[in-house]
Amino acid sequence: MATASPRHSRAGGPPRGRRGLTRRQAIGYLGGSAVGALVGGTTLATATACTPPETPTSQGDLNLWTFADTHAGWFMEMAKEFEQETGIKVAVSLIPGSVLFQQLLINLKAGGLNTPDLCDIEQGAFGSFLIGRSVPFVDIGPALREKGYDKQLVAGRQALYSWQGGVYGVEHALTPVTLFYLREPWERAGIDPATLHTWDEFSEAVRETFPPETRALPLPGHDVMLRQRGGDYFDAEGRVTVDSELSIDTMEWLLAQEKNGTFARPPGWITEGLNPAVWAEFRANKIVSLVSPDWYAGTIESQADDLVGKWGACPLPAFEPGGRRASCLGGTGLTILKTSKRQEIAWQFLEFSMLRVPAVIKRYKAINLYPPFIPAWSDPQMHDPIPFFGGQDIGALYAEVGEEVPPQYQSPYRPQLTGQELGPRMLDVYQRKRSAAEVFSEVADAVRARMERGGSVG
Amino acid sequence: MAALARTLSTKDVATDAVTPGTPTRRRRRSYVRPRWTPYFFIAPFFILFGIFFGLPTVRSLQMSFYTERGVDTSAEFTGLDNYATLVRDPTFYKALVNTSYYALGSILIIVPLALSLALLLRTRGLLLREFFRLSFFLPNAISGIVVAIVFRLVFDQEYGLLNNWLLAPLGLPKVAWLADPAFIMPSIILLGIWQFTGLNAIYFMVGLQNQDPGIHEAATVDGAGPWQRFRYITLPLLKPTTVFVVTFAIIGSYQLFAQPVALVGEGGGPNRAGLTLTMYLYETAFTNLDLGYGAAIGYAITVIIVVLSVLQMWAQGFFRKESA
Repeated sequence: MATASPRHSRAGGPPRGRRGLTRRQAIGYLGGSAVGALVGGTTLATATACTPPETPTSQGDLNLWTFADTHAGWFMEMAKEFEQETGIKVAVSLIPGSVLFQQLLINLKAGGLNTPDLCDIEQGAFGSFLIGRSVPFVDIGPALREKGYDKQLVAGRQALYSWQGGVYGVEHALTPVTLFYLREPWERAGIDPATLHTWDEFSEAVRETFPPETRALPLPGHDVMLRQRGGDYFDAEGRVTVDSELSIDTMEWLLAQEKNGTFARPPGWITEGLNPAVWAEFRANKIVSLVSPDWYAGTIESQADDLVGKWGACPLPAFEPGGRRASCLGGTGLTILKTSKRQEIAWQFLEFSMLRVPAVIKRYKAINLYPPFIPAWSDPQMHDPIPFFGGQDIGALYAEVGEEVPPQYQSPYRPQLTGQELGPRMLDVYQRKRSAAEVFSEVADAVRARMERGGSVG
Repeated sequence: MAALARTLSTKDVATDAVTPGTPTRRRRRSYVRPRWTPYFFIAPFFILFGIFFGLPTVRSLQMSFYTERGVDTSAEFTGLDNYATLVRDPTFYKALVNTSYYALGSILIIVPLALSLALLLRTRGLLLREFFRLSFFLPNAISGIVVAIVFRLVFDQEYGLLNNWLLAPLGLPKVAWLADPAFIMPSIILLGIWQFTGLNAIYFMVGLQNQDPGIHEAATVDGAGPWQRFRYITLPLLKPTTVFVVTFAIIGSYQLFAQPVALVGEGGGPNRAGLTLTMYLYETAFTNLDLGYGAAIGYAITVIIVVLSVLQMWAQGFFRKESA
């Protein structure tokens, strides 16, 4: 039986009796209520977090995730047009950088809770989604073939999102790698780099014409040059080929070009890429060109705006007469998630935004991504002069080399090979501490061991 | 039995005879009725701890015995396979060596430095003492990522503070702090010294303040010099603080993540010279999506931390009877 303490009475508390509450009881009930509320709240919060948010309008609404603000802006514009045409609303979410990758992974691991219908996947991260027993994206290969899009898209670019016969995305950009050059020093030297058709001609012209302290360009990436020669770190079947003769020869060629004074290795170039020290060398005309994908234009503009308008671009010199004059670097593909309950409508939006001439032209105008969608290349709007290149018709250049853009083959182990095995060892090769053959063989063995341990993949 | 019953009955009568409200009565009532209220009040912590720490800890232990790769949720029981892979994994050993390098470097430098700083800040008549205390503590209040981003500029080979303001005036060549594998870990240790010395100095200051000045005065009267007082009084009395500081330094060192990631990238930089154990765990679990193996790495880190902490506590005599 509850018994009030004398102090209750003195304080004028509730009268003693069966219905009275002691202080201890009152505190107990309060504590209990607090715990109850907390547990209830937690359960509710968990339940809320595990329940997909209500769609704003009809059941046709789509969710799209992207990691780049430029892509988000363009997708929002596309979403508006799509809604006007179809009445279907597309919600575009910007989840910056690698956070998108982590978030998508977590949601997929949670059984597909709150996953979007469509998602932009950066090519470097795409391989990680091929690990496991099934690919979490819809195979859009049959749909692409049925409508003939497979012939309208550059095959080399689609290789990035293809795995074991399936096609899991559509690439945004052609990412053609060509030669960007500073017009003024080349004009002063009396050479038009576009007339140098092979790397041998290029190297000879640079060494003979430019002063000894001037070098043609900072060392291009090994993977970029390897792809120009038709190789890659993996082949079409997903086998490791980083230790192939072609790969080793390409690395040795790069080092030879540095040694003979054609290529440069400015401070921080190998570890950081473009950095203030590199730009200082461009400004001092110690370096006069750059092997560069189209999207570097934006990077250059943001880091060295004083050089905007001073650049020209031309095809890469080939490794042999009549050889390939372009390579590729980077990329992002739009995918449809298998967890989507609106895959048909998601495909409609993908088709509307990625596989239509007016849409890809808008994207080119808005974010400078030259499309891998071949029907757009001949459109006059793709040939407008670009201020960054001093008014040059850059569209003509990319259309010229577009179909030569080599394939970049995908693998579940590509991120591991490039980021964890090869990348950390490359400095030793560039510094000639270890031979390319030794390092590439070590990398290949390490990745093959991982593949062996990997079990069922893709 | 009858005698016992009589005794109990007498006790009850005696208890009931006590005036209501006296302490004796309250004690008895509390003994009979369990006190649930305190448990209600501490329950929220334990509920949250159980949900967000206990369950994941148990789940990850379970996961470490399974092969669970990729985004699909199926897993295959493989027993000790992940642990067997771990002991043959050269990258794990690389990360272990790197992390131990940092732990040794930071403990051997930071702990003596922090103690010296604490002794200096305790000097009688020191001007601006509070200002110095605050200044030394301040780096610890800044996020590790922010500190690392600032230190990227400090360590920059071409334009960095260290090369241009410290080495250049001495006629020394520029050092590629974050590109040369030999300098990557020293750079991370330098950052650690800047960020954590002040906090550890505060711990030592508290330890010093708790020492009875009478003991020092008695030693002085007995003719002990400053070094003898430090060696035979200050240091032994600081033992609990030192154990605490070193234990936390070991735990912190083996959990190092944000600073090296921001300084040299997730891969650990050239030759993976900046790859720590937690970075390797993150890479395995969240880039390679090898969740079972990642969980095994996590448990290996836990075992390493526990063993090292217990070893250093044992070495410092923490488990001896007189310490207790």
